[in-house]
Order: sequence, then structure tokens, then C-alpha cells
Amino acid sequence: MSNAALHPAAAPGDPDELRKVLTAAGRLIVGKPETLRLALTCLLAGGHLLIEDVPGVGKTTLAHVLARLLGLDFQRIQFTADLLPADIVGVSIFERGEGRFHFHPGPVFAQLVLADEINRATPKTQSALLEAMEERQVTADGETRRLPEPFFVIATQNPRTQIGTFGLPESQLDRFLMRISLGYPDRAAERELLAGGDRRQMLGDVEPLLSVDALRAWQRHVDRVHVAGPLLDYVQALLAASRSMPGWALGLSPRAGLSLLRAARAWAMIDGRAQVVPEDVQQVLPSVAGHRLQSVDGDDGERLRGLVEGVRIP
Amino acid sequence: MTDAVTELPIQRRLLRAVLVLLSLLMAPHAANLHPAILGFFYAAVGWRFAAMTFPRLIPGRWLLLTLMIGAMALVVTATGLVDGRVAGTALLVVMLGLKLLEIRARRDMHVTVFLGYFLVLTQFLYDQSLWLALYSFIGVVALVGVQVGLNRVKADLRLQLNATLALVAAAAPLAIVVFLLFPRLHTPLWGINTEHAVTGISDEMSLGSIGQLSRSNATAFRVRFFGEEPAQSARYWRGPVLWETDGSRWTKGRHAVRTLEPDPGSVLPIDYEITLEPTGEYWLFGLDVVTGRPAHTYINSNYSLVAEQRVHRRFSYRASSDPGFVIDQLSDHERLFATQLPDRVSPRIRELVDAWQRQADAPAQVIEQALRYFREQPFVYTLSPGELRGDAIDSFLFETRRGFCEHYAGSFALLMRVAGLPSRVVIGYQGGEKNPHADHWVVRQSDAHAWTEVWLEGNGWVRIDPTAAVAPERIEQPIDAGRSEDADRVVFNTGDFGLLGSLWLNAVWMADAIDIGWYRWVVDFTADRQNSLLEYFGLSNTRGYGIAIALIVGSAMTIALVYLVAKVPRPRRQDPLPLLWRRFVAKLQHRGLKVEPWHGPDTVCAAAGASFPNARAEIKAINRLYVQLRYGRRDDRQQVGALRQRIRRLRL
Repeated sequence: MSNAALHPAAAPGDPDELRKVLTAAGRLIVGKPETLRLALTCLLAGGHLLIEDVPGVGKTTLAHVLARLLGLDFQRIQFTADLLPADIVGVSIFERGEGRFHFHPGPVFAQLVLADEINRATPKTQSALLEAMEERQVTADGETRRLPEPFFVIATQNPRTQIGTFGLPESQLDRFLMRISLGYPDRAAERELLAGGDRRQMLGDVEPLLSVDALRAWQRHVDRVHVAGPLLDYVQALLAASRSMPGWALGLSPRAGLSLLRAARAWAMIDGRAQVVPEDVQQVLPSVAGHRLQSVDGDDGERLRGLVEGVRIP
Repeated sequence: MTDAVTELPIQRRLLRAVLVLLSLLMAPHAANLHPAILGFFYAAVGWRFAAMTFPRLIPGRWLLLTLMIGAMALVVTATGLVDGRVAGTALLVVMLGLKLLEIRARRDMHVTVFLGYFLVLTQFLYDQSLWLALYSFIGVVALVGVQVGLNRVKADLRLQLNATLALVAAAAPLAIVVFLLFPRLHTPLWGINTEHAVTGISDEMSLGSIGQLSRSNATAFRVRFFGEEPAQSARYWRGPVLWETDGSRWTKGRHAVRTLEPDPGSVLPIDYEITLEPTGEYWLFGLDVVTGRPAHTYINSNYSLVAEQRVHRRFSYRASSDPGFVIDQLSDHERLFATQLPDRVSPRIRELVDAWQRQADAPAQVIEQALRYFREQPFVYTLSPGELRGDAIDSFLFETRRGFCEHYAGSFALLMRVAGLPSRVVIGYQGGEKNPHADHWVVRQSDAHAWTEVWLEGNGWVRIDPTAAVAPERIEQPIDAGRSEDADRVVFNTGDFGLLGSLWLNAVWMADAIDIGWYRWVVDFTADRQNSLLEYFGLSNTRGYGIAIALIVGSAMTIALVYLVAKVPRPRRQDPLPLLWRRFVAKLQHRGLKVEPWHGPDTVCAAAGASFPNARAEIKAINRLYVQLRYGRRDDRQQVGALRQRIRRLRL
């Protein structure tokens, strides 16, 4: 669609900035432009991202790249079975010299937090992070501390079939705006990956393309992307269909609907458009809805396609 | 009652609207009221208009009181207080004028509007035509609109219009129920003492009187047949019968007329309903010969149908006739009247009759001779017979030989009497035209006719129409009154009018059908018809309290129904965009593009652009426009037209 549709005065900048971020990220994460765009969409929409995949397909690299390109300070937490909530949130230590407790912030106090293999930690530790994600603040020793802005969590998770993991319960999954998976690269992309240089080396060379202020401006701008009545009709029809379709234990909640709209707005914004079209909803639907629908047999991809194809665009 | 809105100052535009509206609604009263009364009212309107610009002109209390006394005097002198209806209306009109002069607050405007409703009501005491009803209805809707405006603080014409139409729509069902169920008087309120100057046949015939009537295209009555319709030549509509003549003038005569009850006989009669326009006379018309009379009428010994009261308003009655009925009674007294001759009968007439009598063996042959005389001599059937000098009948029969039906009927009856045969003249109508848009026939004043009845021993009164001998077309075709007037002879209506003429005629017939439909279903909805309607709903013999209860229950149910309907959420206004989009998609599909219902506009247009590279730019433009209109923020109706045009012009 044309860029002209976005009013220049209303936008915080040229939408090309956002696409340049994607192009730059694409040089490191080869052959996954759609996934990259979903990740950026999630960030712009102010949501958190869950990447579910087998190890070694570039989950960590993705988080790194985004942090560097957007100039965010970055912390990585490797979740293990013995990780404690304080290891994430931080701890107060008595300073003998000053004669009082002093709070040492945990790794969660960063603009982009990579929670690696979140399902390896115990539910208690998991929930400490998830609460921080929801509230955007942490309370330790009776004192509430705000987390930095923006605050973006990318959690990765091994598929639940792997041994020694604590899968996130459905109610917790709801805290992630999107769940995506990278998957194995295709042949050409893998070849390029193997032939190319060291990813860590390359990461070091990445320069920020967007300031933190610009990012926040873009995030605020998401709300100004127009959603027309017919589009609301469409989203409602999708929600209703998800509730009546066989194969899912539960349909999509109203909160899921709100998330869907928000993600679709951010997706449209990356295109430089001032309004959401049904295609935007269709694009973000699998990642937004996939982890919220309790599938009876696990074949989600096919069924989500069925959901889209079963709803006429009003 | 102190209500914030009613105490507000008057809005000038509403006052202006009320003044104009009342002036328009008053206009039909010009036909009913004394010009001085209307003049008083319009002067008050003008005064109030002037006072809008110069507020000093609003009269004070004492001046108003003086004006009121003057207005009363005007009503008394102008109406004479003879007709209560006219006097009452006049009083309302002058008081309405005075009310206009004392409008100060919105409350006064409300009172004025209510008086306006009364004003509309009074008009139906004089005229119940559909056209007046339509005119008044529009006026009433406008009055409702003014009331809506009076109850609003801010002026918004569109909201005002919507609220008005919603109110009228909600009131319409209730109005229908009340119309159907409101208890009715057996005689309607209107039609009392209406004495219009009406054209129509009178109970005497002089030379030229029917010819004069024939120039009018006005409707005399309408007929609806139930069952078989008699042929044109058999449609003689019998009216008064004339016995006495002074040679050229025929009158009813002085003999007493009895009433009788004819025996319908065994023949299946022709059944019909006549809706007679007001005549101001007693006699009615019926197909020759009436054997079954309606209520409130009687049949006299002339076999004419007569009403108990003068017909001052449209009057519908159902009767039956037997065309083969033989009137076989002639008392000696009547025979005397039927052979009465004028004081002087010219020798030429006597010679002519003597000649016939010499050749004839039987009375029937005398009639034959006379008819042959009319047929073979150069008689002309015309509306302009010229002046007859001296003995009128003599000079008509032997010199001018130009006349209309009264000349032929009158002279023929006279000739028969000279021959000693009892004879009389019947006047009425002959023929009629069927309204192609309705199931009734229209008989006009131009169908007025006179014919003769001759008493033949053994055959009774036999109808002889000498006009038929002169102009056989007369009883086959209607007269073209307009063209006959200037022509030498009567011109008949042959059905050839040209395109414009046919269109005009069609419109006239249509108006006639609407008019009679209005009368039949609305004005003539009498207590009898109401009863048959109630019977239809299984409420036979409902009167008094029964009707009142039906009215209350029916109204309550209607109000509940209107309330429920108003509560039903209405579908949103039809958006033209989905329709346009479907048209566009259909166009693509027609050329073989596969489009699924879940394909969004961008998807469809991308696929279309790939399939039809020549139209790619145009498809892209349509895509952009549609997305902007349907999903964008701006609601630009003009752009919808542009999109429609682009989709229509799209060539793939």
C-alpha cells in the first residue's frame, strides 16, 4: 500500500525507518522475514514475545539483533531448574558501611530481557518474571520499583515434549502477545548461514537504527492507526467463529480480541498505513491466537487456517 | 403549568411558518365562508407579519377586546346565524385571527397550532374530497412539524423533520383503527343543509333544456353492476316522467302520484349500485325499469325511484331492475292526463297525423309511420337547433327540422296524443362510459336524454326513442360535448383522441377511479359498513358499548404494537460500499479470477493485478480508494461516487 495513506504530520517519522530495521535484522536472521516482522510488530504493539522452538535455530540471536538495532539495553536470563525469583528481580543486601539494606536490581531491570528456556525454571520463578511482565514493575522488600521503558521480554521455550521442563500454564501464556517459532531454515538460507561469518562477530558490528525515543513514539503511534467499523465486525466474526469451531477446548477471549487488534494495528503501521485492513488481522492471527487456543489434538496451524478461511470478510 | 420550554420566547422562523401555514390551510374556506370573515383573518395575518418587524404594533388588551367585539359583530352580520355550521366556523376563523395578534410566548404558539388542527377539521364539514384530504394532511404534518420545533431549544431542520415523520408514522396505525372502529352516526355530520347550485336534470323539459345540460361533462352518477352489464343501447336511466304539455314545455302535471311495490317477477334482475352526485332533488335514477328499491326510497306509479330526502350529498344506493318488465297499469285518471293536448294544435300537425291514421290499421302502425317520418325527412340531431318562431313544435316539424332529444321526444309524444294514443315523456340519462381503471361506469350530464312512452293496449307502456330514428348513434356512443357545441350536428365520441388526448383522458379516468375509491372506502364508511366490517371479524350485532370496547381494545393493541415496532433495533443504514465491492469482485470472477469470501481487498487486488496486467494501475486505484473508504478514517461520500464510476468503467 502507499505511504501517502499515512499522514506525515501524524506519524513520528518515516515508516521506512521500521522497514530498514527489518532489512538489517534480515542480514543476520536469514530467510525469516515474516518472523522478524512479527517480532517487531509485537515489540511496537508493546507486547511480549514467546519463541517456541528447538535449541539452535537463532532465538537468542534474534533477541540480540533487535536489542542492538533498536538501541535497547539487553539482559539475558538463562532459566534453570534451580533459578530463584530473587535471581531475576534482584536482592537487598545489608551494607555494613551505610548501616542499611541496599537493593541490587536483578537482570529484569533492562529494556529488552531475553528469558531463555523459560520452561526449565520452576513455576514459582516463572511467575516472578510473568508478573513483572504484566505489571511493568517489581516489588521487593515491600518497595515497588518501576521497570525501564520500554520493557520488552522475549522468552524462549523448548517444546514441551522435551524432558525436564515445566510448561507454562495457559493463563500465563496469555501474558505473551504473540507466540512465534523460527523453525529450521530452508536449504538456501541454511547454506548462507553456514557460509557466512560468525554471528556473534556480526552482532558486534550492528549499529542502532532507531533511538529509544523514536521507538516509544512509534509505540504510541500504534493507537492512532484507524480501525473502522467493518474491521471490528470482522474481528468479532473471527472471535465468534473460534468459539463455535470444533477442535478447540475454548475460544478466543475478549482480551485475545484486543490483542489481535493491537497487533494488527502495529502490523499495518510497519506498512505505513493509517488504517487496518482485514489482511493485517489475518497476518497476525496465527501468532496472536495460536497459544491462546487450547487445541484438543495439537494441530494448530491447520485449524487456524480453517478459522480464517471460514469467516467471510464483511 | 410552568414548563421551561413553553415559557421561552417565540422563535421567529416558527412564527413565520405558522402564519404561512394557517394562511394556506384557510384557503379552501374561500368556498364556504363570507369574504369579510376571510378578509378579517388575512388582515390579522398581515398585521402579525408587520408586528414581527415593528413589535410596537402588537395590540394591547383594550384594543384586542374592541377587536373581539367587532369580530363578533362581523360573524353575526356576515353569517346571519342561519347555518350553525357556517356561524361556528366563522367564529373559529375570526378567533384564530385574534389569537395570532396576541402571540407572545411559545405557549401561545401551541394554542395557535391546536386551533389550526380545528381549522382543518371544519373544512370537512363542507367538502370530503380526496384532494382536500391530501391538502389538509400535508398541512397537518406541517403543523406537527411546527409543534416539534416548539419543543426544541435548538433549531435543526433535519432532526425536526425526522421527529415529525416518526410521529406521523407512529400515529398512522392508530388513526386507521380509530377510523374503522369509532362509533358512527347514521347520518354523517356533513351534508346538512348543503345547497350548492348543481347542474342536473329538472322535473320539467322545455326545448333546449336538455341540450343545455348536454354541454356539461360533469358526472351525474356512477354505476357499478353486480353481474351482467346491460348493453349500451339498453342503458336507459329512468328519472322523472312528464305528463303535461303546453306544446313546447313538458311538466309533471298535477295528478297525484301513488307509490307502489312492483312484483320483481321471476326474471333474474340486473343488480347495481349507483353513487349519485348531489342534485338537491328527490328523484333518483334507476335502470329502466326498477323493480327492487333500496331502503329510504320508494317507487312511484311512474316507476321512478324517489328518495325520502333531497339528495344534498353524494348518495349511494343499491337497486335492481328488470329490463323486460312491463308497466301495464293505466287508470282512467291517468289516461286523461296522458292524452291531454295543448290549447292549440296547428292544422299541419293534425293533417300529418290524420294521414298516418288513414293508412294505419293499428296504433302500432301509427308509431311506425311517425318514426319513419323522422327517419326519412331531413331531420338533424344537433345542439344548436336555432330559434323556433311561432308554434315551436310546428316550425320544428315542418321547417327547421333541427333539434336535440327533447325536440324529438316532445314532438313525438304530442303527435301520439293527437293520434289519440296515451303518451308521456321520460327524462333521465342514456348510456354511460366505463372507467377503464375501475369497475364502474360513469354517466355524465352530457348523457342526459329524453324519450317517449306510448300506451299500447295489451302491451302496456312501450318505450319509443324517436332520437334513435334520427341519430341511431346516440344510443350507441356517448356524445362529445366539447366538439358538438360548435358543430352543425352532434358529434359522437368515437374513441379517437390522438396521443395527447388519450393520455389526458387516461388521467381523467384515473382521477375518477381514485375519487370514487376514496368515497367508497372512506367517506361512505357508514354505520352499516362498519357493522359489516365488525361482522367480518366475528363481532356481529356490535353496537353502543360493544363498539366502544372494540375501539378501546383495538387502540390499546395498536399502541402496544407501535411501541414494540419502535423498540425493534433497526438495521444500520445500508452501506453502498459492500455492494460496490461485490460488483467489482463479480467482474473479476466473471473473467475467471478465483476469489474466496475470506480474501481481503488487498489480497484480491494483488491477485487481480497479476492476472490482468493491463488493468493493474486501475485495479490498484480501486484498491486504494476502497480501502480508504471502507477502513479509513474519513467518511467521504463523494469518493463513493468516484469508486462506483471506476468500478463501472473497469475493463479487464
